[in-house]
Amino acid sequence: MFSHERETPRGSANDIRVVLADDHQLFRQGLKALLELERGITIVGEASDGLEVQRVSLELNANVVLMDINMPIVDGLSATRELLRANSEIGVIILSMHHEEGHVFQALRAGARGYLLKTSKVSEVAGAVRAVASGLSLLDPTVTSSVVSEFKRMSNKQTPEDGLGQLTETEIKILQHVSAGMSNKEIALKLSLAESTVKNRLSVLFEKIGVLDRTQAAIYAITHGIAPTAVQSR
Amino acid sequence: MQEPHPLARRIHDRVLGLLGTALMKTEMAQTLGKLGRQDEVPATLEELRSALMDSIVELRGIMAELRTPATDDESLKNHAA
Repeated sequence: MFSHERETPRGSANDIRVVLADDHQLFRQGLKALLELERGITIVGEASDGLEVQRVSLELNANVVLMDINMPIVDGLSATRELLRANSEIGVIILSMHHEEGHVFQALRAGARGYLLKTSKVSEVAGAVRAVASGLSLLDPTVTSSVVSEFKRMSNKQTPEDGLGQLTETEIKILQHVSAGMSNKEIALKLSLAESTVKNRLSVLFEKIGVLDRTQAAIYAITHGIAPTAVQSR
Repeated sequence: MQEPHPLARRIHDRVLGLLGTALMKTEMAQTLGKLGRQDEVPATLEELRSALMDSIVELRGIMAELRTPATDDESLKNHAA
């Protein structure tokens, strides 16, 4: 079923390396077959539980992981947290049937950079894979409004003294680059710093402004008016 | 976050999961058709049917669990008598 012999040569070195994690085998098979028809995307591995996905993603050097929430042994949110602790460069997209805002917030807190519903078309999933692989974040339009409302509420509660005033000039630049979707490597190149220095500075920055991950930091930058405009970014 | 009702969990984990698979299979059948690979469509439709059948079985199980004496036919007949 869905053999690839009729496709153009696959698995180029520049392809986005994707791991699928879902305990529904038929769903995984279908998604794999359809995603592999997309240019520039290679499915390098699959996992059916939250423990296996961590091992497979690290071993196969995945760029992006499509992660279900409800999985045996370890759930997708815990797996996301653990995986990103081991390699923060991997982009995790939650692919779930849950549309409730609580799950979306939990996913973002765990460090996911994308949240899509399983009712999404495969072209939308492929678009999200490409966006996340290039350092951007993406949410399903049906859950975006609740996220925007929540962060509006959060930003209304904060004053400039909440953390922005404590940031150094370099930290503000790092925050601007994070909000533009740049990876640590890209920021390091841009600011002539070591990648490890950017990583350390980010941890301090997150603490100062009271956020847990890049997505929240980017939203913080936008709500505090320090994110670069589309023209300035990159 | 509040723990979901066991039936809500079952509907999510089983029924919605199966319907998600069914949606995926419809898209797969459409894509195969567009690619001119009609010979592969029947097997995909069979998998779609299987996912829908499994959804029906799950929903019947959930309905059986939800049946209370007040909604049971026998109980209603006894009550009328």
